[in-house]
Amino acid sequence: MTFSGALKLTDLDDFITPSQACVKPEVIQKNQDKKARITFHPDGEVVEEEEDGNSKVLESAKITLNDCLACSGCVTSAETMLITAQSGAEFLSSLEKNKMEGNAKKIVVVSVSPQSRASLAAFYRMPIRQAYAKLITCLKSMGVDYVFDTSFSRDFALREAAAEFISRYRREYGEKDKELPMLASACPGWICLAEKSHGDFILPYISSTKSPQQIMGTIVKEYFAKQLDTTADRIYHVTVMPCYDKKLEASRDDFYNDVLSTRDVDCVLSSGEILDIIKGLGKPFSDYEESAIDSLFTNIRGEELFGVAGGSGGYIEYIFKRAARELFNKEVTEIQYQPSRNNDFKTLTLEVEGKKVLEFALAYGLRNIQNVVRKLKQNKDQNRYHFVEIMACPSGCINGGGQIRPQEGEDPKKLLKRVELLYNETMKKDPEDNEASEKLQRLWFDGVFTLDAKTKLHTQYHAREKMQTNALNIKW
Amino acid sequence: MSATLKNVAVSEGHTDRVWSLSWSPSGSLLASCGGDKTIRLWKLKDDNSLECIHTCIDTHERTIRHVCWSPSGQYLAAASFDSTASVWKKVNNNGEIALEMLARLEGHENEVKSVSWDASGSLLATCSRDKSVWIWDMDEDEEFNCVAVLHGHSQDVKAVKWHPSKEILFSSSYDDTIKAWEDDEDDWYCSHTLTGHTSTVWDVSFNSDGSKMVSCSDDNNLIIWDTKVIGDGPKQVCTLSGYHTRTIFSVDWSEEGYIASAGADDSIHIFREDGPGDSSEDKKVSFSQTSVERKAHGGDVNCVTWRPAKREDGTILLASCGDDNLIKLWALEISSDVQIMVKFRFQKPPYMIMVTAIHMVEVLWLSNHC
Repeated sequence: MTFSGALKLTDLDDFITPSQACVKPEVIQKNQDKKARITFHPDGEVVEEEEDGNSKVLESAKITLNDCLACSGCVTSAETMLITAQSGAEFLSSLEKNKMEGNAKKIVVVSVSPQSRASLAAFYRMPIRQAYAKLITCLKSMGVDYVFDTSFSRDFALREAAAEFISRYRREYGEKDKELPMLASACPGWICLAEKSHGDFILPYISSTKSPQQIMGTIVKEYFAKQLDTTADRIYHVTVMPCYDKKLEASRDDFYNDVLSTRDVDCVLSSGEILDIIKGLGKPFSDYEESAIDSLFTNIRGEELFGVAGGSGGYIEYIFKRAARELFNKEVTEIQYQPSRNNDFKTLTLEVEGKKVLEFALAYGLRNIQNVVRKLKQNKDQNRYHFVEIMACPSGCINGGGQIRPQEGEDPKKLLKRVELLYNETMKKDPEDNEASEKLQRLWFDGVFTLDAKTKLHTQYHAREKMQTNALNIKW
Repeated sequence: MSATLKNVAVSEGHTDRVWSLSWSPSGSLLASCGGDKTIRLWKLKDDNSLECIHTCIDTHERTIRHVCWSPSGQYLAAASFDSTASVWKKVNNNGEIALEMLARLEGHENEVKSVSWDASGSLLATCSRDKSVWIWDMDEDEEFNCVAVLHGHSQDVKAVKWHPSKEILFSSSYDDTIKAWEDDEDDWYCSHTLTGHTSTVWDVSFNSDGSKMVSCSDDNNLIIWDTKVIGDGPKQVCTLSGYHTRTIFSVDWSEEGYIASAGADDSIHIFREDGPGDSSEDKKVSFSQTSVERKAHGGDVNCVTWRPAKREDGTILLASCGDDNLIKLWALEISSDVQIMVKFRFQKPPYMIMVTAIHMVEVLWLSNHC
């Protein structure tokens, strides 16, 4: 299995795939200049015998997720690298282990993304709300204590990103001359590409706002832990995402708590992996009762789920509306994209007195990302776009690589349409109308884009140094 | 039929192996590149020798693997192992021809292996060891936009080549296949995967009308494909085996119908499709070797390419380059023992047929003579 999910879904081959092979060289510290003989035993053991007769078993080199993140060998990591730390099997074994723990039992939290909900609903051909309610029952039957909704934390991300944009537009935030265009930061595939391939040049343009997944991590591990009168390491936090690269994001050092040795998100499962887990339980999904949806950290009013428009988190539209209002006192009621060279590149413009004051772009898929970065590097169009919603997958997160694959004989484009339709069934509501999350933002962070919010809801990016990847150093 | 290669020029200049050659469409300039990280422009002189008139240095950090002139002859694209491709514009500074860099195309993760312009000259394809094929669009402002990033090959992609008239891209790979790529409302997809070779496919080339394609491989074979109707996929019509003894790196099909192939056995072979008279009555396509040059270079021959235009005296020229750092020019000499079948009907006023060489039948109109 490779990252070809998106490719199959849309018949586009435009997707960041893992490199041929991991090329990170192992660095071995050698103290003395002794000669040694290395013997490979048939059982796989490798023994080094030194001249003086000492012998020792050599350890096999292991590549961890962190090695992957720090290496510039591949643009993204191969799925096989991710399996050990973040897989359905790991999730199930953690739950089993946890059941045996008695008093030392951890609290298990699962945060589900709205795109994954839609993918599941499309697979089981039922309304989103029903699929979500059954999923909650299913998860709780496995020992999960709480199920949250990442559209709740996404509203934090959107408010912060909009405030950050306005501040950058006023040249009050970010690196001098690199405030604009602000580039979206929620897609870990794009972040990975930016850090590894474009480094220091591009990073200042990227919004510092954490992704909805990582904000949920902060909420769960800091604020929810406090509410429960426990510590972050006593909570096992799992997210369900439309994307494999979210596993890489969760594994970043920036989201690791050194003191308590815990991550804000302990395990990330893709929509496809959660489906496999459901199937593995044996009971038909339709037979599960519909649990009441918890109102805690969930975008729900009464019985109705709600969220922003936009299959990739709605950044472009919300920031556009918010900036138009705050910077130019214009209410944008209808979003009208200008057609462009392909479906994955669209622009939004606000004109005031005949002058284009806001120009936003949406750029999905590697080809469009490439063009955005190219123009930026050439210093052309530098001031053309003010904000670009960049996502690595063609058609955005709703078509993420981790979404459930089309069934045998199913047209991938039709499936994507169905998932989009279901996704858009959810009531549309802007983040400022989400009283519950706004209230918590005031309570915990003293408001939007405050010092507290900047500390807790924003992050940093790190250029990954280009390595000489040609380990054999062949001259050709 | 026989035709032999006669070496007419040897050009030194590159300080490392020469990887690739490209004739400008008019045939007046030859571009070369190689392991010395330079691109050189050579002028073809009247005596069929080459004069180096321009050298681009310090432009790529690693080997330049491939060069390709645009159909207009105004732009040269180059592929480098430094993971970028570059596009150069031909400029004329008071009669001095030079190349100026127009754009650097970044995006591939590692070594770029090949570049190819489409027939319109607006689309440029690149391919890489990262297994991907990229298509770039050059607009009126000479700006490049990426229009497709194509994944499909499971290994290193060795070469890309556009069909000479249709908007179909072919790529050949270390995964032993050739893939055809077509677009559907701006979305490019793999329309066909051609299997037939049993090892790396190094290069492909088309005959002048694009009805046939030839591919060459590490399996030492050449395969001829029928590309007249792409619909059901190109069909394998003929395999040429037993000629090369080692990997065939390069193949080129001339306008006059000659196929030149070259590779790791240091040799250059010339083939030609058998005419209806040569082959048996069934309409099977067959090719015959007309010439072989066993020690063409003192090492691997990396590229062979026919000059697109005949010389004034009718000479057909072939350029080759190799691991011996040399570029060589060869004239294809057609022996006189050939049978020529000319179907010709005299009309009034009378014409005279003047045969200068095989397949080059010039018809002169004579006023009141003969």
